[in-house]
Amino acid sequence: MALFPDDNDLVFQFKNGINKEIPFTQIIKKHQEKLYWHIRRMVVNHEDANDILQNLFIKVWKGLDQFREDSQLYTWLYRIATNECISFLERQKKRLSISLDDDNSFLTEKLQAEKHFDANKLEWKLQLAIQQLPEKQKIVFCFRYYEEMPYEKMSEILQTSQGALKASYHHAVKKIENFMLNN
Amino acid sequence: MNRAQEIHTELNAISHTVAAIPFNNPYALPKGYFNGMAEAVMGKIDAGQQTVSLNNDFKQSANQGIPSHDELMSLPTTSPNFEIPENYFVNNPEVIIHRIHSDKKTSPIYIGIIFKLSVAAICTGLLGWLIFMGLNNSSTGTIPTHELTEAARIVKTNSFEKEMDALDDNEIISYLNASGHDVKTAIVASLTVENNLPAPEEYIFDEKTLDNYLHAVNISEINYLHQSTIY
Repeated sequence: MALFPDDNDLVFQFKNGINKEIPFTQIIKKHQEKLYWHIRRMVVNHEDANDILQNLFIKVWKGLDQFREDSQLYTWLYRIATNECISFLERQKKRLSISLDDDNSFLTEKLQAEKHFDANKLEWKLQLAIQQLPEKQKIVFCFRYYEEMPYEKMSEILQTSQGALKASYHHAVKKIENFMLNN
Repeated sequence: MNRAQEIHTELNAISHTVAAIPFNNPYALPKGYFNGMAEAVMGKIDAGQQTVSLNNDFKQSANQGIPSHDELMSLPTTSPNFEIPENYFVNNPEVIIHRIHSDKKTSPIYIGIIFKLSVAAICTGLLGWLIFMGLNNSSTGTIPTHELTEAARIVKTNSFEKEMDALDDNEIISYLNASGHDVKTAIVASLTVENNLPAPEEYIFDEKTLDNYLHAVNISEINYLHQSTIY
């Protein structure tokens, strides 16, 4: 696995260096994989995830000079990624005239269209269960389950109290359990 | 206890069932996808692209990486019933990129033309009214003789466009002000006709559409023009 400089150093080089492309390319390479999987689990489809990820980095390129470094770059990137995913899903729901509450059936359809999808396999069943969750619970569950993110970090990204996040995670796990046992 | 163990213990306490699910990632990912990401993003940034279009209809093969421009262009297409200019789709990306780069600000000369067009309608109405009044109410003595003579001369010599061209922006603004018109609104209204308005769905999908559009219309320049005339 490639070793990358510290985020603070990369941001410093971007803001003060002559060639911004070198540190920015390293920022992309350093964070792309985790961000991609975070986005992919939210939107399911690879093409959508790819578009969102590229848009995200284009926005970061434009905004990094103004990044105040009150939070870590990693936190900022995740926050943008999460907002981009939520906006994307809301746009899709509006386009499909679906209520914004919790109808994620279009995501289930996308999941079923995935290559190698097999509803009898546990890992796909888990994905189906995750897509039934309300967006906030889905984000919290994925952060915790897949990325092993501490609540403290999650709290910074989602700007929600740790207590509320623990409750969301608990609800999410219970809903997933219920889905797994009844489907 | 490390973080992974801690999280698994927490999960196990909430649900044995979920904790027992093997930790597999079932999603397929194009081979070498991450190797090309930085280059793809930098390429788009260099090209000055604002954002990537979210084209949901384009289903890229799960075995491919990010398609290059040439790969995209070589994709098979169905034969459309409508005819298009030769090489339209080949040249279109360059045209669009050029348009993104081109300055969208409206020049003062352009504003001047729009002013003249805006006021033309008002002047035409005024001429018609003067002639009508002149022909029907000549006995009342309330006709502004000079304007009537002037209107008759313009009609007779068919020099309306020439007269309009002779007017400068300040005269038009003064006229609009004197006749009780909101100059700023007239300018914005005339500009909106000349600029490409965002499509209706853009307002639905992007709440900043109106802000972006008004910014593109360049209100500050209009303010400057307006204020310089008034004061």
